[in-house]
Amino acid sequence: MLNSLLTSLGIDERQWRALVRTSWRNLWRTKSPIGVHAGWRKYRGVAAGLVMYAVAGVLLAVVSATAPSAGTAAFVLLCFLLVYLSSLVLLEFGSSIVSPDDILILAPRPVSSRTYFAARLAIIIVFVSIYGVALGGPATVTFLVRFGPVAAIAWIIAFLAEGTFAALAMVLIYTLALRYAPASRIRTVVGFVQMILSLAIYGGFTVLSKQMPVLFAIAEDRPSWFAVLPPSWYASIVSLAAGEGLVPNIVWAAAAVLAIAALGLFVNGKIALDYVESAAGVAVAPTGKARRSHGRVPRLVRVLRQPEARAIALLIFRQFRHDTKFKMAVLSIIPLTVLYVILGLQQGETITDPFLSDAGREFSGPLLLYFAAIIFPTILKEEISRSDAYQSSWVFFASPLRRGELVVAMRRVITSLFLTPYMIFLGLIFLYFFRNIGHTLMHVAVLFLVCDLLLNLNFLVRPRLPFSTPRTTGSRTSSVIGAMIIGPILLFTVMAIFTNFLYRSYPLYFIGILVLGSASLLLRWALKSRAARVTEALEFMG
Amino acid sequence: MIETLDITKFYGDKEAVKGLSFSIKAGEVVGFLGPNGAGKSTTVKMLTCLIRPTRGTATVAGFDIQRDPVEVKKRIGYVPESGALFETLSSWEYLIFIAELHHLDMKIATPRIEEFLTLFGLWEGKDTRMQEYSKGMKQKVLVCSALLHDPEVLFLDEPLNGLDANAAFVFKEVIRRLAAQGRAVLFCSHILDVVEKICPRIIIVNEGTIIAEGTPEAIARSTGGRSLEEAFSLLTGVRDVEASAAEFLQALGR
Repeated sequence: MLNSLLTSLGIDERQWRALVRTSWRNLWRTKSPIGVHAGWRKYRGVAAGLVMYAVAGVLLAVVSATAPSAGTAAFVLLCFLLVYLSSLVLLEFGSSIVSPDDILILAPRPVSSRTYFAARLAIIIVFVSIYGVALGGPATVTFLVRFGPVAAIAWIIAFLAEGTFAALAMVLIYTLALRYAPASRIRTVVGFVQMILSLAIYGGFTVLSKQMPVLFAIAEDRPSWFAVLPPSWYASIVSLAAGEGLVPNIVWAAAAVLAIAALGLFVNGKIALDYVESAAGVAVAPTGKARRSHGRVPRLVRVLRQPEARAIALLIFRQFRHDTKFKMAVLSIIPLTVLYVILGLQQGETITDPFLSDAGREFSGPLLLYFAAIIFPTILKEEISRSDAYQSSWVFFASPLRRGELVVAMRRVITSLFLTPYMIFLGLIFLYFFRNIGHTLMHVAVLFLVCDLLLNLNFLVRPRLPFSTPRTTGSRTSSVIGAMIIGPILLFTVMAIFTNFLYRSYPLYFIGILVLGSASLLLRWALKSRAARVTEALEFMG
Repeated sequence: MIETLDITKFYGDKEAVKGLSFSIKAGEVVGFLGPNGAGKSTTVKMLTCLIRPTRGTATVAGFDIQRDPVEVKKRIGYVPESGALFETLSSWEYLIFIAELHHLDMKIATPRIEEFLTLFGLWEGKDTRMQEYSKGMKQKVLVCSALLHDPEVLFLDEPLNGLDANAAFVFKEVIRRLAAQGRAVLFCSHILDVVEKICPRIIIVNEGTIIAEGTPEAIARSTGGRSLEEAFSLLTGVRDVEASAAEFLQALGR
């Protein structure tokens, strides 16, 4: 059946199978020039991501247990699923759709663009489905217990179908950008697409998290505009199975199937035909703009005093300009940060001087503004350690330098060029609300020290050389979600201690600052020593 | 076998290849030379259908590179300069994969792969992932993958990169014999004495245009040089090798 379907779509079945098999093997066989990942460790990126999705899935299952009907429960869960699975494609596959790793290996082979594209799409859909099972699987129990086995089976079909829809829709957006952007501007266009998608997905996630009761109300009322939301189509499959109304659900369930078929046909059309050529164009063509910038050292880099830090900063800026995947990774974090800043500012009434108000002492401050201060540096650190050009890290092994210094330099660059400007920005916001320059400086000093401490802790736990680890599927999702869960817990705990106890008097405040400062210095010293030990033990095997 | 007419490639504003026209007949081994950035690899990438020419046309094995890229790819073998491979696969897995892509009958492909790997001394490590291979071993796999489907036309971009002396010796003989059987070979290399030995005809490109074409002897004669190496230096801008070397050493001393 699969063979005849592939043939009818103009896909070479034998080549498709070989491509899928090879891509699948490549997904799991991690390669690293500085240590081969063996045993279970090669799966840890994916495993960590799956565990986090499963935890979210359990929470969603609990939420769905309170829904008044099967259709409502399915709609709310499918809204979250759509956002989560879209972010998965955004983080793990966006850059590989635009700039596939294997294009230079396969482009000279007699594989039609359609076959190559279909194989890539199949891998993405399978991967999204695995994560979809982790996320939607736990709720199957809820549907089974509350609405019966037929509704549970329908739920499985619905979430798998919606996962396929999300994967197809995301792939379509990237490939449209690839197809219609002028060759000379393709990196810029793709960067914009990445930012817009990130903003939409993370924005959607934030809105959904804050508006759960509204979601339940919409699903129950079913207003006319409800029909434009894809989760409503897939939720109709569950409604139908649970016997909740026949006619509208049949229409919307049909829309769910048609949406997948339409997207499938669309991507299998002209887009699939030109895909290899467009992707190869991105892979081999240098940009005129990049050539013009050659030789200039960004002014920001010159701010750094240590030569290692300047070298790392230069590397980061140049990678951002030339490495499409690194650029897309960084551009997917910026909207998240911007979103938290905007939402944090919307909580303007909570931005009160913590040295004066009781509200501040209870620490109900602008959490999202603080959150943004840790999310960007943490994820940026992870991104700076990965690159497709990881084999170039031989230079760190062949040069007469202490490799541990490079790790410390990476931390310095993030603190100096990313964390410090954000703290200045926060200082200006606080100054506007506090109207007290002393309190602003004191509060920002605490926040800066806490963020610096967390960043040092992160480097201490996982010291990495810059751009020296290959990108592996699954690792971005786990690091982003990890940063979103662990970072805030630590940050909010320390900030709560300060605002609740130490802001009560200046002596207590200065003792707190002294403790934080000492801890920060201690961690810096520990990082220097550990980074030296860990990196000196590494061998380059590329 | 290979016919190009006014083939041109622009990268943004830069014209990397400027209207190249040349032809290579069946049974010919043609050396394709030029300094770094001359447009050799871009030309090969166009002829192997990796990228589209901005202007001009070309046919390979009778098929237009723009209209029938898949038909062209069925008939060509390509050893890329980049040496790109799926290093997470073993050489055996990789060559089986390539055989699948070329629709080879496994009854023919399997013994052929076995023979190739044995010939190049890779049989013992056939199940080892290629990430553990040396550069020369990876190059041998690339050569095997280019020849596996018995192509009509070969594009070899620095094929001897990293090969040990014995493997290089065998491979040069293989190229000669393949040409004798009627295959066309475009051979790109910077090792001029190798090119001189195995290529009866040479095309030299510089800044995207053909600046010399003919036998190595004829090219040397036309420039007044004593060898192909000297002719190449004269044609591509290094007029005084000794002065250039002295300047380089002076820069080191500054």
